Amino acid sequence: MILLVGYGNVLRCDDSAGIVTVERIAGKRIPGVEVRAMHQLHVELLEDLQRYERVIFVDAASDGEAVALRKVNSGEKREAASSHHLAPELLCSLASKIWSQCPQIYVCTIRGSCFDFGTQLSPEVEEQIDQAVAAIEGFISGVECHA
Amino acid sequence: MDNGKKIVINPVTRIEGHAKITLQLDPQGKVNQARFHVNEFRGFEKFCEGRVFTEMPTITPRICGICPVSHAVASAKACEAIMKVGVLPAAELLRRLIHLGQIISSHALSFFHLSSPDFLLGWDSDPAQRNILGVAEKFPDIAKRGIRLRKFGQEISERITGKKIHILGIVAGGMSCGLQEEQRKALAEWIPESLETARIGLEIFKRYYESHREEVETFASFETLYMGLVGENGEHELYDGKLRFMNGEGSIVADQLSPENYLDFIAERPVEWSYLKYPYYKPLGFPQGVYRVGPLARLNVASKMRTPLADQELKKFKAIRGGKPLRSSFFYHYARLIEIITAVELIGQILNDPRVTSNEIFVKARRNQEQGVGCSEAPRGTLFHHYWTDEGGALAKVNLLIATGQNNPAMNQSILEVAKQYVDGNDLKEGALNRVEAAIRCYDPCLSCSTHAIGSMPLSIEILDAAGKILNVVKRG
Repeated sequence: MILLVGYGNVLRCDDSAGIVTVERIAGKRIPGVEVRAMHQLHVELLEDLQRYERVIFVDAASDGEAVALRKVNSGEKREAASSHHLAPELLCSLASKIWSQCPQIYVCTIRGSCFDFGTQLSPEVEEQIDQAVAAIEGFISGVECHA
Repeated sequence: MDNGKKIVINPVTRIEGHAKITLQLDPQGKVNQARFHVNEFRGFEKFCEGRVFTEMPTITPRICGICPVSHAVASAKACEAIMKVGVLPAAELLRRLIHLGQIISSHALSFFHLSSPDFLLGWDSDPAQRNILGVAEKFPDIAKRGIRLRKFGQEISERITGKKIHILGIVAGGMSCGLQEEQRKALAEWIPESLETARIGLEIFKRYYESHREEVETFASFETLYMGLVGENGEHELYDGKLRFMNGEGSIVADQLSPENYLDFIAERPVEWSYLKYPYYKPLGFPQGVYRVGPLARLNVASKMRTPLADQELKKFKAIRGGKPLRSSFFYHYARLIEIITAVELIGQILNDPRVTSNEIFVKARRNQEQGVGCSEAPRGTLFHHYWTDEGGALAKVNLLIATGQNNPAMNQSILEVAKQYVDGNDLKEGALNRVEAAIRCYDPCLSCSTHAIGSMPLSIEILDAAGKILNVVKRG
């Protein structure tokens, strides 16, 4: 079973890219895939993750590749965290410490260009969301993911 | 101003929101003044003017992501005062359920996520590890229990209203959604584990207290009044009731005060260094009328708890100072844990009440008077919503007296007391500054729904001379 989680602030333009991506995939009703959209990743999500073999987090990014999909390892260096929102790397780290088993965790990022107040996506992000949807679908159907 | 140096702690970590602490040193390097600066401005009181008053239980929960239910409750009660209507029994039970869930969720976050790292890992431990991640590494079972306890509180909101935070089910006139039998049973299954986790939390605190008695009993310890809601027999209350003020000797200064008359006995004064004002008990003036709210104050003013296990613990709590109110701010943590216990017990009682699954949860009424005041106990203390409306029901004026704001004078005093005890400007240690931050964490202030760092946020402390010249810099991260 795969859990697909899109998160971000839908009132900050391209920050909604993660949510829009997973909602498009949800519309395809792929068997064995559960889709959730949320504002932030909370520590309470940790326990839910144990029910899945693989978890893919989808989020907008301010830099990096246009679309990137990579595996997260529990030993990855921690970034700055807050108790309202934990990055996927931190969730992975916490999950491995608290629960003996941890699902395979992946992160798909979509580079955004505008994070102002608003509900519209920038044109380039619209295209990148299509690429992200294709990448995630391909991954789900067994295409190799480069870590 | 003294011709000394200044230490700035910015930001304060492991609290809700953003704040800064300034410590002014005398020429000998000792702390002689401390300020707690709240640099956020929200504006809810102003931008809600012109809205229809019945919208407020939907708008005001957005003030905070940790205590939105308390805002919804206080707001709905203010609306119902304007409507001159009461709510049906099932609606009150549901509101109490959600409210108690929020208390548990908030207190669990405060103790297990924000404060337990100091108890379990040490005040002077590596700041990068001194957080929930560090606790998870060394004490995975405690970390898991803390996470699940917080989750239980959120489950209640979600199973009734469909949302974990910023819920929409509490409305003027009652509730817009009820509790199904299946959901009721699912929630009841959480009770035993949640009680056990609260008990483990108590053990953690008591173990620390036993081995650090003097530290705990003198940590940010000073005289104030205490204020909280109580029932008609003085029992601990969170959802309803009347107000009680108590002094540091345990004498009741004022009792069974109606919250709707709060302006008769609470006044506020602004200060130049913060957006938070200084409230005080009016009859005694300032500063004699400075009071504290929140878990410590609630348990100090309460004659008893409404549930057996919590009441047993209250007796031990009160015995510490022979029946007199506890003054050390450190005991906020103890009080918080006792409130978790009573909240879990009360949830169990409500879930066993057959009325809780009733569909009779809403009454209709219109504006029947100009003003309304609603009051509830938020996790951090007493909360007031006061609305004035025009004849069409549009808000002409809004006054929100927030829990954390009422602790503002005490928080400032607390950091001064702790800084005097632990900070030496000639030999500045990170652990000492952590203790100053911990003085604020005792109050678990909710400065806004904002993110805050778990220890790994870079922090720079500057020591300045009176001319503003940087003499020393201590960095973390």
